[in-house]
Amino acid sequence: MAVYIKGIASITAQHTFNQDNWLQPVPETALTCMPTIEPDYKAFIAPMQIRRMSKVVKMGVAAASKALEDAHIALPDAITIGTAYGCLNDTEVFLSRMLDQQEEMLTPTAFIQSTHNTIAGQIALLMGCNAHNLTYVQRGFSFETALLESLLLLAENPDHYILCGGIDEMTPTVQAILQRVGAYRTEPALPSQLLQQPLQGAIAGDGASCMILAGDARGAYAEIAGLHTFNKPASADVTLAQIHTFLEQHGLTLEDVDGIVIGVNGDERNDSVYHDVLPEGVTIIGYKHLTGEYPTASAFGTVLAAQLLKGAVLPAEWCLHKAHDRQPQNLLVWHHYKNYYHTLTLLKAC
Amino acid sequence: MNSRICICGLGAVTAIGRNVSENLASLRSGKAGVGTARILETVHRNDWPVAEVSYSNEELAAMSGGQAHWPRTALLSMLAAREALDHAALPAGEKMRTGFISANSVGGMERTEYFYPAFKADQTQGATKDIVNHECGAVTEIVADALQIHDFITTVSTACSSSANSLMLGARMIKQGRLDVVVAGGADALSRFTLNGFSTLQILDKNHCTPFDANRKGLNLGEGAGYVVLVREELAVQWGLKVYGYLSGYANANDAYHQTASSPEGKGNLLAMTTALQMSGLQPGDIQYINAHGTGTANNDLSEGTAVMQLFGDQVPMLSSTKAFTGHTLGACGGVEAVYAMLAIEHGVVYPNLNFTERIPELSFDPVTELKEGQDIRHVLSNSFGFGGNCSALVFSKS
Repeated sequence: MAVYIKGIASITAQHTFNQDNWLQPVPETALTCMPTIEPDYKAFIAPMQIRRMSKVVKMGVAAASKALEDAHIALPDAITIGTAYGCLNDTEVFLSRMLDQQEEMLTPTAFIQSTHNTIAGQIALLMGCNAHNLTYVQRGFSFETALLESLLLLAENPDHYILCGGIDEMTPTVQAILQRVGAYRTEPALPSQLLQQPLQGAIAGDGASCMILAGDARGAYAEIAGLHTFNKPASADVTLAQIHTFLEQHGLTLEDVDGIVIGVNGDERNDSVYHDVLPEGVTIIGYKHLTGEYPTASAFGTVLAAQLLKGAVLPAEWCLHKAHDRQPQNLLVWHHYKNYYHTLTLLKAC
Repeated sequence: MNSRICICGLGAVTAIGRNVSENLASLRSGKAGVGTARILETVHRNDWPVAEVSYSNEELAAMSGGQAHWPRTALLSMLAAREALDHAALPAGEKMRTGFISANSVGGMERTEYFYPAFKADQTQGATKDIVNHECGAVTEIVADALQIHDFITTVSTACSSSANSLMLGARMIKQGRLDVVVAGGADALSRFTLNGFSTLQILDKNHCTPFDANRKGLNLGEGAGYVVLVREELAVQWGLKVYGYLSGYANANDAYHQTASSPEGKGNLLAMTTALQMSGLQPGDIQYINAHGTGTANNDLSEGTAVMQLFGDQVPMLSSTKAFTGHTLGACGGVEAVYAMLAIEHGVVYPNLNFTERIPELSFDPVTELKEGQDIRHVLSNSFGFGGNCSALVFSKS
């Protein structure tokens, strides 16, 4: 069945939350972690609750609320969220106190808010939504599992509206640990130069991207024409064959695709997986050099593709290679995590 | 419904057994696994009894084929998932798309607890091997790699209902033709983090827990893993697999009442049970046994019992909680109890709800308190509820 993206909302390190300043340039600074541009949460959450909520929950609730508003939906028929890290900040607060205080004199607040499903649970609680509610936590495949589950749910109930999102927060601790294991850089880099000088490690970031998915095309941003996942390809040839086969099933070749949205992030080990496969002559769009890398960043890649298919104009710094001037009618979002989990999502203009 | 979801393999490890047959023997003999922690290094060893798997990480590694430096959750997961796969005896050499859909609540937290103090004092310190598998998804990934399952891997984390939801996603993936075989369930090891967390919530019992009793004081935490092997029906038939039963209904709902407490009327519980029954095409009267979530907390047992009464009226089927045997295994309990539900069907057995003496005044029914053998169990309802309002119900059927 056809599935459409009916509403969207993204919080990232760029202006992605409001339409009026969408993707307007943010002054460029060399950093190791991109700061998120957080919205005014008071528009979505009561002040008392804002103070109690961690950043990841606030971002999640605001993006979910805004996406529903955008789709003119009061309550979704299912909520499915991907978050690799969950509520890191509250987890660390409780863990740290527990160890410092030798397991004595602890209070429950941080523990209560530490479970990975706190984000989806709070969204349901604030809206009074009793519907299906799931949280997936599979590293850089978390959002993709949520998206896949949304398609499965819509195939069962085509008249439903599904709230699907990818949400993660970065903390100084996680950044430091991931710098030690080489996933993030210790030397600041400028977004405009990050992809030109691939080294070991990406620039950190975080954010929340939500979308409303439904079987109803009216007013939609784009159609999700297909989604294919595969793991651990043995070689670049195998990956390319997977892409060809997937596109063939939708009557397309790589040359027919108006653009490929990929997750290059400045880490040469990550980026080469894309570069080893993609031929010359295709239009390539990137986003992680401007949003920073986090496991569910690809949710924004999907939202970005949806915006472009509805006619939004892409500023030059997001376009990594321009092969033509066509107004996009279809875009392939290709995301991989450590060359382990790959996801291909084909979006078409409505 | 279209293609049915066959259950062709079971695997479980808990405080009452290292495999399925030991678990069943303990359930039959009334042998609970709750006692003083020997492996978990906590200052509260004598404050809070737990249901601990009695093997060290080194022993679990040797038993499962895993590695001793893995998080304990991964070792428990490996042991039970491997048992389930062995039990299913899938045909070698047949082409099949296989998934591993697991669940856990705190990933490699028990290793993180060793890493963090040194790291906090000096960010260049702490062994990274103790932190690299902190993520819930990392635990699933290392087990999937060891089991050589590559087609699809994911992890659910919805607190105490996590692994029931793994079965749900697995069934949907098979029904819609994306996978043929799914090893579905979950695992969780005891950690100081969860023990102290539940302690702050004041919902731990200082003694052996008493689910559904009027004077219940709280839960005992446990650890373990439970998995089932789900197979597309046509393939199970074609391959001549032994089919132990079917996952005939499932549903997930949210209570939307409180982050950690259930609504008094059990709104989410009722919605999950009702929707799961609808999917299975059954009436409440068709259920012979309910394996309740039944944690032993004042809040859960009353909400769940109230929801059961609303759905079943004065015809509440045999019901018991097995949490007094295994403790509350959090992200594992839906998988462990799925295995118990299948064993109830296969062996015609209903497990006793241990430590029950007095009915909850608001409820109209008592749980089963004595072992029942020779029962004709055709349909079992299994409940799992969790923080964040997450409520899940599964229906298992003999045919």
